Amino acid sequence: MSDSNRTAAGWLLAVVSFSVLIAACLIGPAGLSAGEALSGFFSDSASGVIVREIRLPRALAAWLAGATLGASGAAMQGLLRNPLADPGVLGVSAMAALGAVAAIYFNLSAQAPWATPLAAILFALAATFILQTLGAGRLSPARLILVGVGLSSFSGALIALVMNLAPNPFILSDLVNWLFGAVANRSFNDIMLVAPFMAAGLVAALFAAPGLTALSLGEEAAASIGADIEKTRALAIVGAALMTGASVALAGAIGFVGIVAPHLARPFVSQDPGRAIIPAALVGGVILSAADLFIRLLPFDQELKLGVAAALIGAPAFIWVAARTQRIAR
Amino acid sequence: MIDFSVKNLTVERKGAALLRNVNFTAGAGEFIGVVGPNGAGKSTLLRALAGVISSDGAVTLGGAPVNLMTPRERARKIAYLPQSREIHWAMTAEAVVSLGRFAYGAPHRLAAVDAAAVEAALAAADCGSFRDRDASTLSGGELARIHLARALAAETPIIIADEPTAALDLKHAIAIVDLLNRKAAAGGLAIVALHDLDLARRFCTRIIVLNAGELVADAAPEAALTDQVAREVFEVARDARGWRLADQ
Repeated sequence: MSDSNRTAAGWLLAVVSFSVLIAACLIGPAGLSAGEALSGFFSDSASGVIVREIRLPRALAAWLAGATLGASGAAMQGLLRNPLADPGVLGVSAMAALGAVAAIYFNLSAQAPWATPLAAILFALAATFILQTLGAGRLSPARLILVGVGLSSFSGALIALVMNLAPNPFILSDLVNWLFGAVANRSFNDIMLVAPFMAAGLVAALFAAPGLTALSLGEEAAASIGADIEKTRALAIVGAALMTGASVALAGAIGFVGIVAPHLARPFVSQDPGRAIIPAALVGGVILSAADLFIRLLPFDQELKLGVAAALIGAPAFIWVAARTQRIAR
Repeated sequence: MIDFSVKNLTVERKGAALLRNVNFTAGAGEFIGVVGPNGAGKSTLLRALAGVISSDGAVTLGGAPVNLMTPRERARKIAYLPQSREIHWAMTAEAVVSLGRFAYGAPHRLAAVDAAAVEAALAAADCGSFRDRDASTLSGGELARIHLARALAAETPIIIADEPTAALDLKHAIAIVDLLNRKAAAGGLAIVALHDLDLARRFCTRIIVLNAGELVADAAPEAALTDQVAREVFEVARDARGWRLADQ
């Protein structure tokens, strides 16, 4: 792709991303026509309540959760120079979900609404810290992914334990949401609670972006061309942890978006890992808001969980990326 | 004017000294070949000189310690070509070379002066014919030239290269060493690890011989690469047909 084509493709991506968001507000089971729904954005009628209070926050929550997972996947992949790195594979999502689940179980969430996002973000930070220390100082990508797999299983076991001990079915059903991922019944309050963390995480990842580009050459060459490796690593890790934690707090642990979105975004930016962050966010937003729209339209009595739908599409995509991955390091 | 000085340079990892008390000074116009058997500490020395690993002792440029410079500051003075020729994403050859200008501004939109440096480096390393190709499709020799072009594009007074001729055919190996030689002759300083003693003898202005982490010789090629050094350090000897194992 030439530079002008890439710019055009970038704008197209932004327009598609925004269109899916709008479409998610216009389409739904309430039987509003597109015109009624559109006017609902600006009126106080019943359709206004449906569009603004139910559909918009839900669509926005799905979009934001996908966008932050996409961006944090792009940052982790750039840092680890591995297209399979993502918050799900590395256990960061699972740890964040464990944080959210613990906050619910110990009744902290009932006392303060910000306890859930805070716990999710703190646990995500803890996960990246563990990955950083156990994954060896030099972050050998293969070792790191193995540590991540272990971390993921361990958090999964602890979540299962909490579910085992759940005192009543209401808490259990709440916990299932965090395990599988869902954005049903999200309000603007839920979004406002996590939005600052998402924004801070994105800013941190974007500050790491030039260093991520340099890291394409490996750590030593990147350092020699003038990249500050320690700073890049800290920014990328904290950025990814903030975004993942906030995303999990909003929508639960949703896998594979962090792998698939950057993979689809990279051709738009000549594979440059530093420039892939924003496109990966746009693609991730499209994926989850489209997936959520899709499950809302399915004619089942019991709604499919968003994370389940994402995994049904994402897991085969993950296997496909894994099978095609080849690295050149001669 | 280049005033590069190395004093009591020592590198220790996990209690073992990879490099012990290395001392030398170097200036403009020198093409220093660093030779020694496998494990002698050549790569460690070059990494420490380039400031990409921590070390004890002092490596200074114009009196300023290299390890106290910011990464960008250092990158504008010293270009370093590591032994591993990693490129992790399917970037074009030209994009890799453009990264050589990282310390001068944004890596994506090159200013005119940066674009000119990239052009000159692509031409000097003879990379023009495959500049638009995906780096993952390049041969070993093409990759080596791309990485050299990346280092040249930085237009630094000092270039440090770790076996830039490894895996190259003789023609391209000679071309690269000749290029580094000319860069030094034009007022630069090149410090290059080489395995091929014949190339080192022919093109370098000075040879540093390392053995078991210590500097054992530092002199003009003929004085440094003596039969005795070949026998004692490399355990090889030369006869009419070329190199052979030294008599035990």
